[in-house]
Amino acid sequence: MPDLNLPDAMAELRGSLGTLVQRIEQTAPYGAALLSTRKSFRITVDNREERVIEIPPSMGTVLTAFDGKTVHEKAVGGFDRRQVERGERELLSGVPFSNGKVIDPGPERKGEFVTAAEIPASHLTIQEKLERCREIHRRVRSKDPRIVNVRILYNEFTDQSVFRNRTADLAQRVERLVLYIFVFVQDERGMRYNWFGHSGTGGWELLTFSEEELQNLVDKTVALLGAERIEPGEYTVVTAPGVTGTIVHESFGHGVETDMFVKERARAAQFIEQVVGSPLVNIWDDPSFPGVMGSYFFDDEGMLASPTQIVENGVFQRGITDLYSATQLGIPRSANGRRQDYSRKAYARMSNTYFASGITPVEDLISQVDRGIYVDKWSSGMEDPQGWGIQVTCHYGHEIRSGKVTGRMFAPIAISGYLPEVLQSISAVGTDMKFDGGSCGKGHKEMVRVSSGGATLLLKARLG
Amino acid sequence: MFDSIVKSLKARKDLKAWTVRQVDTKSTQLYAVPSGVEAVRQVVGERYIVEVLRENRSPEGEITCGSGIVTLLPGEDIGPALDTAALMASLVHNPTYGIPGPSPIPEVPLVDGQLQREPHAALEDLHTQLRQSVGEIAGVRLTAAEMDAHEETTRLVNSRGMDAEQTLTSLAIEWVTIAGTRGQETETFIEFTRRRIGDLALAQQTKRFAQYALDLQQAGPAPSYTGPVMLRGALMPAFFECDATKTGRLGALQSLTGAVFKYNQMSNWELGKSVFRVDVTGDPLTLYATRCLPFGQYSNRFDEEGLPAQRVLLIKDNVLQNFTANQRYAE
Repeated sequence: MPDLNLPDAMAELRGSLGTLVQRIEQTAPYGAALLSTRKSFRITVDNREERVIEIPPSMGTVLTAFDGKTVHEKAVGGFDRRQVERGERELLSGVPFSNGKVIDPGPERKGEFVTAAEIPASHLTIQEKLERCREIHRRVRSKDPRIVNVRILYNEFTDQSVFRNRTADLAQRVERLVLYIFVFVQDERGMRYNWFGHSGTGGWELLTFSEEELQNLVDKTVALLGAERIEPGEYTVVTAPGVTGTIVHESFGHGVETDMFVKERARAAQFIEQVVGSPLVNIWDDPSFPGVMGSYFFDDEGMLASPTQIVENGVFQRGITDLYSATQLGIPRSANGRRQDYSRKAYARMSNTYFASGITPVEDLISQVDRGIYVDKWSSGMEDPQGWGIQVTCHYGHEIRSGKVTGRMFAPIAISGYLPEVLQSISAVGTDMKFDGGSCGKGHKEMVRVSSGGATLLLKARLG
Repeated sequence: MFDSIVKSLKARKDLKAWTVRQVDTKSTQLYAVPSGVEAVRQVVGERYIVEVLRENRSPEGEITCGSGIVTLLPGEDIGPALDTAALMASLVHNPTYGIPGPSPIPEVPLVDGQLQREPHAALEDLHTQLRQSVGEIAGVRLTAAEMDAHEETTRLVNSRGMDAEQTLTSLAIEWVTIAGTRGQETETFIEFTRRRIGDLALAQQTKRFAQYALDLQQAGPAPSYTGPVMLRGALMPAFFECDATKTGRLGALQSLTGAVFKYNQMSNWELGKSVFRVDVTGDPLTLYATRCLPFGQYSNRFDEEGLPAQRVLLIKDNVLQNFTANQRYAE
């Protein structure tokens, strides 16, 4: 049996969830219970100070009653049985549930799941983790005299959840780790910074840094001191996997979260089974993708993780759902009903969203470009599901001349354009595949762990 | 449980200082879609956040300081949690600092009585008002709204004798207005947080943002342009990303005026010097940070360390006057 390592109170309450769901369904057409813990631990080490802190955890119980029209929920902090039973009474009291709609609870499913790790974070002491962070800090800070600060940021996230409805009895423990290195350099031209990191679901085996990776980080940070502003205009662009992932995330990620269809906020709703890009475009969301940041075994509404193909050979296939939007739209569910924590509602949310690899080796792809820009590193993106505008801000990019990346650097770079035009312009897709892990909000809130990525792309876009 | 935590902390001899906060929260949420109410939620929570400071000795023999934070839920074992906090605090070697002592806490109005007494009724009423207001404007429709009425009570006690309590309410509201028809829609997304319902000015805001959605029907892409740009009203803080609680990112002003950034050599601003690297023309920049504004979105009586609310002059006539600092970075 996998070691879920549930808190005692959570494990004890789990045993009574079946009865609790039965009682909810005596009044409402559909009932469910979710027990959820989100714990996070952080170490920071830089030139001036060190910190070891526990990020305030979020632990609680969500009781759901749904009649196909309105989702009623009572969320209680912690796992105290008496408080949860009181919450159940309050949830059902005085609510006029309509009984006309049948809510599909999904197939029979039962299971317990734990993230696989070679070096689980729990097998190292806090002291050992701190020492590993200090060691990386020492390796980086001595690499260039222009370095004024190096910050190591290590985060480990432990999510435990138990889901119960009429047909599902599921429990999981998902372990995510991330370690970022920030380098700050300064000379007479000013101060610049850059970062690099590794992340994923798993253990400390994810967090090894080669000397080449560290030197590359420092070299690029120093080079940023001499970076130029790019002349705004249309360019032939090669996007690194992280930039590709951000374009996908903001467009056919946020833009196909089907709660946005219900709210009439997504243009994609009018493009189902229509061409939205070149035949080279294949976009997926897959919470079952192993080892990356947005992976999980089941979502917060009890759907077992599985891949969803969003765009196939340039044709938009389907969106990603939560229970409510799938019910309203009458479409099959995907495993994307996710909450920030017990205190927030579930929405249709991404997991690992990516642009599938193609057949062109990356060096062949760059060699096709006479004059263009290799956009190397993204820093932020903004969704526009209604207008289909692309807005991705990149930390820097490099000039490509005569099929080669030159030393000339531009920073920052904003990519913009009309989404279908940009996707139609894709003329080659690399054989590579890489993910960047991080957090994603719905608008300005509702943060969940995700990753996005894919292959290197050759396309046309407006840069500025 | 609060008293038991305080008793356990007082009994420990390995701590230099400690702070414990009990935070009780109540939240009522309403989510609306075009067909009606999508979801109604009620959330209650109670937690105890303990921060401890320890005096350590570095490998070089210097006296140093470390901190540790843990959060307990009702019924959790106190002893092991405090041991974890003390362990975290023992591992690091930073320059020594302390915690605030008792001092007068200003009275800052922070509670909307209506929101506190009848949050669900208040949200239903707001939803009705919103639908009516948008319904009165030709050419636009309301397609989504979210509302969260929140009440939070914090009691803070520390090892220097501080004992304070504050309650605050807040109302987060957002909605989407769409103009145009199939394939030609334009939208505006609006979100506000206010401590009082009355400060929303819902009717005016509804009209204003509905007009934006209509205006977007005529708008085209912005041309490439370099030259003067005017910012006003709510766009100013958004442009400078002053609101890190929303974006998760610190903006230029927040980071460059932050003592933590100065301490970590990430801000090159100097007290008494212009914050601009080049000569600037036009009106000089003067900037305050205040937590004393009555019913202000970020106002409070005391912060997480127990420091009383203040109004701080950061920049006067382009010259940096103060950094924003918690106790640690101030010292």
